[in-house]
Parts: sequence; C-alpha cells; structure tokens
Amino acid sequence: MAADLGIGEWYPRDKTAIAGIGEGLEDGKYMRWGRATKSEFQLACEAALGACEDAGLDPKKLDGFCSYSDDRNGAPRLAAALGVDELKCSIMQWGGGGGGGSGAVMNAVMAVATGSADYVIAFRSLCQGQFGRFGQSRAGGRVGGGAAFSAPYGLMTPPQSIGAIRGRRHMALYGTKSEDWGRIAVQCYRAANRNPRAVMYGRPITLEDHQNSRMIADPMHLYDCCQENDGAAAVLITSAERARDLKQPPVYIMSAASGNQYRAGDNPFAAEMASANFGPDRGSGVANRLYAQAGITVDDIDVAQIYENFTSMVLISLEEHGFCKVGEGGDYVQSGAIDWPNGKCPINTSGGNLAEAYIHGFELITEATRQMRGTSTMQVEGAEIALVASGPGVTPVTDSILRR
Amino acid sequence: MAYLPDAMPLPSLDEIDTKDFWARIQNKEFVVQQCSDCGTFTNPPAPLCFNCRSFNHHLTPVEGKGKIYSYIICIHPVHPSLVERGPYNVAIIELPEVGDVRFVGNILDAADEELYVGMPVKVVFEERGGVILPQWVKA
Repeated sequence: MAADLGIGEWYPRDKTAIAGIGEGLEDGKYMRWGRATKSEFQLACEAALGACEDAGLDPKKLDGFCSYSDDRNGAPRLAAALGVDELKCSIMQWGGGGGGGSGAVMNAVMAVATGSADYVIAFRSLCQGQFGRFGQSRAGGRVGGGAAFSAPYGLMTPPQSIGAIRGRRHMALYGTKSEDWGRIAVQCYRAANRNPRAVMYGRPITLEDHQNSRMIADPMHLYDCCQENDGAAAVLITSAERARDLKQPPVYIMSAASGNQYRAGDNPFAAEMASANFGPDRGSGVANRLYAQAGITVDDIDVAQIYENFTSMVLISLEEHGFCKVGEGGDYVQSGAIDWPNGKCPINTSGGNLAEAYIHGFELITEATRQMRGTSTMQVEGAEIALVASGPGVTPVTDSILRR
Repeated sequence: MAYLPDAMPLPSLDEIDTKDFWARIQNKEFVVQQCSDCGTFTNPPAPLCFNCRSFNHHLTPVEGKGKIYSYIICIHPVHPSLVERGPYNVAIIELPEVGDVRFVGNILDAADEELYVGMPVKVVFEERGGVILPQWVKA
C-alpha cells in the first residue's frame, strides 16, 4: 500500500504523458567530450525536433521548454529557432545540476496539467567539449561564495565532493566495499554494450577491470565515474488525451517530485558543511512523496534508471528509494537485484551516464520511456512501471515515475 | 612551502558576508560565526541565523579541536597546478565544540594510510600566496 501523505485528488497522476523522444547525436551515437562537430544549440534543436517527429507533431505547435542546470540553450532562443507560434512556458529548474532532470519533467507536467501550455519539450543539451569539462577546474586567483571554503583545499570537482567523500563516509558507516560499486559499473557497461547509441558500445568491462582501473579520488576508481560527453536528449510532454491522438503509444507520467535534505546548501562543494548527514541519507522524503503521488510502492517498480554521477551515489540512491534498507546497499547490489535480465529490478538499461553518455541524466528519461514502450535494447520483459532517480547528492534532487 | 601549489585558488577576503571571518583568520585567530540571539554556530558565515533568523551575529573564538567526518586522497589532477603536485588529502572536519559545524581542509601532517573517519585533528594556520588559511594536523 502506498503511504498516505495527504496527496490530494488534485495530483495529476497519469494526466500527462510523454508522446515523443528525441536525441542530438552524430552518426547515431552520443559523443565523447570534444567530438561533436555540431554546436550544442544545434543538438538541442535536433533533440526537440526528433521528439516532435517521433510523436508526429508539427513543431510549430510546441509552446513550452523546460530544462535545468542553467542549460545554455534557453527557451526563447529555441522558440525562435524552431519557429513556434507562441512561447507559453519557459521554465528553468534552479539548482541541483543533473538532479534537475526529472525536475524539468515535473515543471512540464505542471504547465500541461494546469493548461498553461499544451506541448512542452523537456530537455538537456550539453557539450562539455565546447564549454568546459565538469571534471576539471581552471579556477585561479580568488574564489568567492561557498567555493571559498572548499576550492582552496583542492576540493573542486564532483568526483571528489559528491562521489568519493560521501562514498568514503558510507564505507566507514556501513562497511560498503569498492566491489559493491563495481557491480553497478559492470551492469551499466553491459547495458551500453547492447545499445548502439552508447559511447561505450563495444567496450564491456569486468569487475576486475573496475578494480584495476586507476584511482581518481581514493576510494573511487575511474569506472566509478560518469563520462564527460557531447549530446542532447529531449521528451515531448502533453496531456494524456492529446498524446493518445499522436503517433506513439503514450507513456504516462504517474508522478514527479523534487526535494532536498534540510540545510543541504546551494552547491555540492559547500553542502558538506551545512547539512546534518550529507551522503548516506539525504533525508528529504522525496521518494516517499514520489511513491504516494503515484499510488505505488517500491515493489511495483519493474525497472529503474538511477542517475550515476558516481557508483557510490547509485548505491546510496537505491537505499534512499527503499529498494533496501539504509546501509544494506552493498548486499543488495551483490544479490544481483540490479542486473538484467533476472534481477528483481534491473537498473540503467541503456548504460546511463556511466556508459551510454552523460547528457546530465536526461538520457535516463528517454531510456525509461523506451522501457515503457518495450523498445529498449535491454528490455525488461513485461515492464509496466519505471523509476527515474535524477542526480543524487545535489540540491534539490528530483524523481519521476512513468508507466505504460 | 604550502601543502598545495600557489597557483591553486585562494578565498576572496573582501566579500560582504565573509570578510570579517577572513580578517580574523588573517590574524591567526580561529573563529566560527555564532548567532548573538540563540547561540547557534554556522559555517560558512551567513547574513542570518538559520535557526532563529536573527541577523545579529558575531565571531566566537574556538579551540579548533575536531574529528574527520570523511576524507579522500585526490589522485587525478583536477587543476593544472596539481599535475606536478601528486596525491593530496582533503577532509571534512567536524567540530563537536560548536555543534558539529564543519570545515573542509587538508590534514597537513598525516600519511594517507593514517587517515580514518573519526580521527581527531586540530586547527593550525598555513600561509599560501600571502593568504592565511585554516588547516589541520593530527591531534
């Protein structure tokens, strides 16, 4: 039974749907950072147009754009470039980096469910080769804000401040092992190996490869880290009713939610200094709200796309979403529960940020949609409900649940 | 020689919300911002108290005895100036004497294998590029 958290009849469960998906690729693939020959903006346009074409919708009818993490390809610019009639919804999710992926979906749902807009593109376009890599800092001289209290000490990038330092705390508290994180990496790379869009297609890894890969920030190895990529991904969100008149079977949005831990702070580098328990338990209750809005429990989820900035955070996210108890994530992944095809709830079936491409987790949303259509390259047979958990370890995090 | 290279970023000492804190640090006085109404400590310094929303606060001298909340050994150079530096540690230090307020720092005198979660440390001051930073050593 789903928890009763006072979620009213007003919640627009299943009232909106994903009617189309699109990607900004080159030669049918996402790209390693620096490899895109098209601009980040062109890839954003191609992803939006791809979603329209998939749905069979005239792009002129688009009337909204939602993104996150200060996406450079703003709604007004897209609306002009794509020749849409009127821009009725132009929403940026503040904060959270990749944690905003399902937030863009949530904001599109809110716009459509209230009748503020009819056909909204939720998307992310990100070319780290064109605008700077997330895994490198060139900061010099003086830094201000929260970073003044961390960057001078060499805590400057997400692998350090999100993946490794929180992962170490989880290891110390619960005895989690590097090999537990490795199981997650292996599943992601296996999935990518079936997915021709994936940058790591044709490059499977073993647990031994994971263990032998170089240390980035001890305790975290190279294969615990997401990639840095160029590409774009988009979904077209409209009302369930309109979606039924379009080309693809609608994938209904049961629930989308955003939340954060008390005092989690405005960036992951300063956050460590404020919240009571930053890593192992973000304590926001967002998963409970997500499930209550959807009217389901974790046991109803057939397949999950768990944002992998870092494997350590996937393990923590699995705990926070109730797949196992806090502190038991290591045993859970070692049980094979996350593996395809026989696991209880296979995860990251396209390869995700780790092995498909780091499109800031929006490729997890297109993949969850494919699972609900039955068209994934690592299809979970008979899957009816999919979870997307966006961006653990940032503020706020967001989640969404889709159904067939 | 400082623990990290001079080309690494240094804090701005003149931002409105934090300049008083950094001025005291430049005098090698270890202080933490405290609410003048309810006594709650906070770091980094902020315009108001998150507990009682008072805008009245002061900087309280504290002993600077803490313990490691978590730590990492940074191996991949994330900044051009770190290529030659080689591995270094970064820790989050929790200060029980001021309500578990945390600081990020380097443990200047610890070998990698000596570090552990819960390890006692104490504050020291280090000069780098003409700026004094609070840093940490084994206690």
